[in-house]
Amino acid sequence: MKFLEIINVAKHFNHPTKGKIEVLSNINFSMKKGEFITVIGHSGCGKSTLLNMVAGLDLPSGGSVCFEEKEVMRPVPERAVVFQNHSLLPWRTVIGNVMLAVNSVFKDKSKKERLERAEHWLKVVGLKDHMHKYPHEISGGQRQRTGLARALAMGPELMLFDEPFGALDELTRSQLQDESLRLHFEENLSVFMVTHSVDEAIYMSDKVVMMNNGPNATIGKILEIDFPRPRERLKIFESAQFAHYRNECIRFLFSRATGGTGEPAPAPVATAETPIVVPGAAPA
Amino acid sequence: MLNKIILYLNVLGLTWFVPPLKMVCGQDVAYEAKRFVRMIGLPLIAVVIFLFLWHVIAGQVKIKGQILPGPVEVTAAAGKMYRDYQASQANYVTYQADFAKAQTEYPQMSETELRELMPYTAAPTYLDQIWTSLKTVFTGFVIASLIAIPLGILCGMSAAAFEMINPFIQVFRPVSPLAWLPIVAIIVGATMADVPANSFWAKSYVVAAVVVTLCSLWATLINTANGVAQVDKDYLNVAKVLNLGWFGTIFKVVLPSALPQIFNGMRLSIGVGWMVLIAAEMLSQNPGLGKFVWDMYQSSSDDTLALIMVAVLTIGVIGFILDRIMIALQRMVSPGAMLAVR
Ligand SMILES: Nc1ncnc2c1ncn2[C@@H]1O[C@H](COP(=O)(O)OP(=O)(O)O)[C@@H](O)[C@H]1O
Ligand SMILES: [Mg+2]
Repeated sequence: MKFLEIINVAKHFNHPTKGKIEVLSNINFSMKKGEFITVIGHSGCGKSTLLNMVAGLDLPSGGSVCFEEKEVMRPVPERAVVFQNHSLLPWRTVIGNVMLAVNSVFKDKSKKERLERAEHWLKVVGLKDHMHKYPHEISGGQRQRTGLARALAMGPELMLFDEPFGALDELTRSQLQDESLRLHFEENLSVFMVTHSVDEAIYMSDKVVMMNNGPNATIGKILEIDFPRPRERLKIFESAQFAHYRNECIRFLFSRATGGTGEPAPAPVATAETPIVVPGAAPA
Repeated sequence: MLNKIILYLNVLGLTWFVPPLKMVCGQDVAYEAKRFVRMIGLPLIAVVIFLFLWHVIAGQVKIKGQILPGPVEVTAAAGKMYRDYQASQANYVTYQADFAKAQTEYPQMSETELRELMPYTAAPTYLDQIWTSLKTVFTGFVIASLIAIPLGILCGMSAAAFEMINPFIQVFRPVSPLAWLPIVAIIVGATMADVPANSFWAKSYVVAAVVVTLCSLWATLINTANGVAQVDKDYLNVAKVLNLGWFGTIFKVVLPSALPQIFNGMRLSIGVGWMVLIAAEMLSQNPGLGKFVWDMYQSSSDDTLALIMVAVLTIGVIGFILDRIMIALQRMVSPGAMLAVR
C-alpha cells in the first residue's frame, strides 16, 4: 500500500484585500512508511501550508494529498502534528495537555489505561518529573518535548513536525534532534518534517525535499541521504559526505531558489567548508 | 508563604494590604512605608480636602430656605437611618415574640393562617432595600449572562452569525433604560397579572431585573464574541488534530481561552446593570435603593437631601465593591495570575 502521496498539489489563498495569493503549485512527491522526510525552504515559501494540507488542516486548491490511498479531507489523530510553537494549552498541566489527546483518541480505554499511556510517553521524552507543572513553568525545550509526547501518545501512523526545534537554543535543539531520531528508529515512526535548517534536514532525514521561493513555490530538487541509522552526530557532521550534501543544498537554496517574481535570496551565512559540528546557522 | 499571600492579595485586587503586611513581617520597611503613604495617604488627603470644601461651600448655599447638607448633616442623616434600622429590628423581634405567643395560644391554627391574621407590616429597612437592589441586579445580570455568553460564543465562532446579530447589537445597545422600561412594564404587567405583589417574583422586581438584563447584556455579548474570535488559531488546530469535536473544542479550548475576556465583559455588564438599576427601580417602584431615592424626593422633610446623599454614597460604594469582585474573578481566570499562585 502506498503511504503518503502528494500529487500535483497547488494552493492559493483568497485574501480580502490582496486578492488571490499564489503560494504553492505543482508539488509532487511521495513517502514510504518508516521514512523520515524533510522539506526545506526559505521562510514564507509555503512549508507550513504544505504540512497543514498533509495534516488535513487545510485543503489543496488543486491536486490531492493521499494518505494510505485515501484522499486527505480532514485532520485525524493518525497524522499527529508537532506544532511550530508548541501550542500547549496554558491552563492545563503537562500531563493535562497529553491527557486531552489521549482521552480524545482512546475514548474506549479505561481511565487508568489512558493515564498510564500519557505517563509512558512523558517518561519517554524525559518529562517524568515535570508532569504536573504548567507550560509556563518549564523550559522551551521541555515544552517542545511535551508537544512531542502529546503527538506520540495519540499513536500516530505519521508524525508531522512543523519546525519543532526552530525556537530552541543550539544545545537543546541538538538534544531534541537526537531524541527524535532515537524515537524514529526505536518506535518505527514515519516522520514528515518541515524546516529551514540545512544541517538539521541532512542530519535527520532519508530524503531532503528542496523548495524554491514563492510565489508559486514548487519542488526544485530531492536529495537522497544515505547515512546509516542509528545516526551518530559527530561522525556524520565530520564526514566529507555531509559537507557534500550540505553544499548541494546550499547551492540550490541560494542560487536557484528564487523563482519567478520572488525577492532575491539572502547571502549564505556559512560556506560548506566551514566545519560546523552543531547544526544551526541556517538561512532564515 | 509571605510571597504566596502577597500574590493572592494582588490577584484579588487587595493591593492596599500588601505594604502593611510586608511592614509587619519586617520586609523592606522603609520602601513599603513610602508605598503605603502613597497608596493610602494621597487618596486620604484628597478626601479630606473634598470634605472640607464641601463643608465650606454647603454652608454658603441656601435652597428653599435650607442650607445644602454638608458632610456633617449627611453623617447625621446616616446616623438617623441606622437608629431607624435598629428600631425596626427591635420591632421585628417583638413581632416574632408576639407571633410565637399566638402560636402557643392557638395551636389549632397553621402557621400560614396565623401569619395572614397577624402579618408583619413594617416598611422595609434601608438594609432590606439594599438587599432588594442587589437581588434585582443579580437576577438581571445572571439572565443577561445566560443569554449573552452563548450568543457571544456563536458570534465569535461564526462570522455569519456575527453579521446577523451585529445590527441588533448596534441598534439596541445605546437604548436608555428609561425607554425600555415602559415596554417591559406593559408586557410584564400583562403576562404576570395574577402574580401577587408580595411574592418573590413581584412585577416591579421582574420589570427592574429585565430592564437591567436588556441594558447590561451587550457588554458581555461583545466581549465574549471578541474573546472567542481571538482564540489562538494554533489552539483551534490542536483541537482539530486531536479530534475534539464541536463540544470538546468549545468547552476544552475556546471557553478556557476566552474566559478572561468574557469576565471582562461581565464586569462591564454588572457596572452598567447597577447604574441602570436605580433608574429602573425609580420607575418600576421595585422596593430597592432606586425607590428609596424616589420616595425621599417625593417627601419633603428637612433632611431629604441629606438622606439622598447617603443613598448616593451607598450606591457608589456598592458599585465599587461589585467592580472589585469582578476584577478579582477576572484575574483568577486569567492564565498567569492564578496559575502562578497554584
Ligand atoms: N491563511 C492564509 N491567508 C493568506 N495567506 C496565507 C495564509 N497562510 C499562509 N499564507 C501565505 O502563504 C505563504 C506561505 O506561508 P507559510 O506556509 O506559513 O510559510 P513557511 O511555513 O514556509 O514559513 C506566506 O506568504 C503567507 O503569507
Ligand atoms: Mg512555517
